[in-house]
Amino acid sequence: MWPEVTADPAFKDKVSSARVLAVGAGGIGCELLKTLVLTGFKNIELIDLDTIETSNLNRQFLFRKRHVGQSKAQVAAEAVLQFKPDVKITAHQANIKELKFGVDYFKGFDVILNGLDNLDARRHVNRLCLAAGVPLIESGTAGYLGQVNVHVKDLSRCFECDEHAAPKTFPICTIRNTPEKPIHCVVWAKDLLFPRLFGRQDAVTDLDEQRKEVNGSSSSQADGAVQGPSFFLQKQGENSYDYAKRIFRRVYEQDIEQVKTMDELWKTRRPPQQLDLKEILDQQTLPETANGYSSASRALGLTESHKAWDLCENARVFLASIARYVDTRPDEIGTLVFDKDDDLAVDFITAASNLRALAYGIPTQSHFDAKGMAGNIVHAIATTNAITSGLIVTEALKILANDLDSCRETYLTEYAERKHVVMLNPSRPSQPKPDCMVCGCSMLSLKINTTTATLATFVDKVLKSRLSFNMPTIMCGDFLYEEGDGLEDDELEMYSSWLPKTLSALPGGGIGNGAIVDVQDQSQHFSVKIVVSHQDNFDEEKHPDGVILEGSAKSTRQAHHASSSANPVAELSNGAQSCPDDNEVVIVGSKGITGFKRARCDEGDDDDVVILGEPPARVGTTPNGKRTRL
Amino acid sequence: MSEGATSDPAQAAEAANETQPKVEKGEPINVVVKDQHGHELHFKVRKTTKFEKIMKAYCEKKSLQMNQLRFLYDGERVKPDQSPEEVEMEDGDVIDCVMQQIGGH
Repeated sequence: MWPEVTADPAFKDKVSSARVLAVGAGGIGCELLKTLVLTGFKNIELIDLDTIETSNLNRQFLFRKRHVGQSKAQVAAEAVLQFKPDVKITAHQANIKELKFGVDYFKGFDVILNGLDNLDARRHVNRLCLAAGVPLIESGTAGYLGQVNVHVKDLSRCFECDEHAAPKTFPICTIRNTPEKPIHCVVWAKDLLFPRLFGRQDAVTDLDEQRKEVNGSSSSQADGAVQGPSFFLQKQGENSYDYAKRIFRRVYEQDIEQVKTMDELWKTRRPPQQLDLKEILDQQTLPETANGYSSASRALGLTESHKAWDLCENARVFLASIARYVDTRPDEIGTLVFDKDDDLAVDFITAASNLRALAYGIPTQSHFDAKGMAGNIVHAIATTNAITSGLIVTEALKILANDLDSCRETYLTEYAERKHVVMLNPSRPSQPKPDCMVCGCSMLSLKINTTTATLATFVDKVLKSRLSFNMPTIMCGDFLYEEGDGLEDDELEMYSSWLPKTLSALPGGGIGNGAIVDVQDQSQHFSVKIVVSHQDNFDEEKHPDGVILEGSAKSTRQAHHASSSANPVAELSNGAQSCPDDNEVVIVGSKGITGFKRARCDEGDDDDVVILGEPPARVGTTPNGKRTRL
Repeated sequence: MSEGATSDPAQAAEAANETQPKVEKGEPINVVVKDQHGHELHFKVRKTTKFEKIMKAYCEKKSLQMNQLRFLYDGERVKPDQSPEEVEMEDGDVIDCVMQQIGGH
């Protein structure tokens, strides 16, 4: 029937009268809005909280340099109206999580189109679409990759039926003491050192904890002046470069020396080496801070952003960027947060992380790469966004034609050996997952130390950060905790006084081992039950925040049973029971393995799944090397 | 599909298995798992082997988490409790392994 349908006048009317909501006016959003109006959509609402930044202009083609600082939603709408004046676009510069965009608002649309850039907002929109019963077309991109999914309540999986890779976090001791990769050094520079020097002074960071720990264990030559967060502030009358050098010596000489005394860390690792500032700088001069450059690296003549600096260059950029901050931007000290568009901040992060890398024998990064790592950037590609937007509109047309059978989920693939030929990989949307915590009915299982974890940890780390709750209401036995508008002052005071309490010490019996916690969110029309089980210790490598959250417990009874006997989660994770006696998987060689080393993936006598190696480089070298090229 | 092409002379253990009567286990085939970058990993499995085993082996090999991947064959999601036989897979067929991206910048 396609594409004749699209030429049908009745269908054209349907498209032009359809009401659609586009969430996000960024990379995908700009392309989407353009494609929508050119396809014939005439009633569009657009929501985006952000304002336009210079770094958007290379791919968000509705924006021009003069628009920097203005609302993305507004400018995108105006830009489109210039070439399609007969469409109606309502632009909101707002957060989609605001209460005014509730279920009733969602019900006013025929289809919702997501062009978002984060998990949290996607989950929120998913929950509201389910509550309102409006189809959702969801999309995402990263570099050359991307996908479009169709979510129709009861007919296909909802966004949260499947898990999504969350941004990576690193164990704090790796960052603090034992970095192994460049990213560990970048995270250290960005999340520990930068806030300590330029961020809020009242917060005690992990950098200070390290100091205490080391001093406590070795009670070494701690001179009083080195103690406390105030060490990291510029002293009255201190020359800016003297200050910068003092910081350098502290973090790359004294701190490294301290950490080297923790013998147990260096049994299996190579200990770091202190950096001697005097030796490094030799006779090199440092640039004046007031020479008109906003960037320290440029003031030093280091203009090639793809070239890694040497030790001396890193040290000079480090000193120059600190000096430049205190001399030219003194008002911002104490309130700064890392911003990848702040050249001076990127200079500092690059130099600080490279110096740490050099001390630890880790490869250094160019300014460009360090910026990408610090900003978690996979460079966005306009073409990927354009293809994705085209697919969104295609699926939207199928939804409007009520031809759900034709709907496809499409994944973009990138085959590097073919010079980035982008291919589409369509598949049918799958059935909803009965035990999805959002569209199905299931319980989650949470392992946490109930005697040390606080209610604040539970609310922030588990409910808001992991489960994307907006305004949670928590019920457990006689215990009730609420957030959101419409609370009395005394209620607010009472609830916030509970936040520092540990879970087991909460009023109404507390939240202890085996407790079933009911969490609801009126703003999302969403509720979930969480079965809590107590666990004393966590593997810091795997669970740095001391929380293991898994779904989906099938029934209350089972969860109770499990928590009282052994491990409630083991049998739930991945739905994978440990393999039966006989083994059916064998790997026969793979990339990098010459010959055919047999790698067992399971124990047992009888292997039935064999990995036969990874072409393309080795085509023809595999026995029976039958290959299919798609 | 041909049965003979799939037996692997290099695999002594496999050959030993062939001599035993294991009719219920199905014939061996090669299954390719290909990711979005075009990298392939080849598996030799029995037609009756559940995909879960292949997926687990793939994730272990690639250090990935299974619940964050989607395995697609012939325009459908492959379920862990299905086997190549159930989805009528033939020797050398490719399963696409994709991951959902959450950017949109």
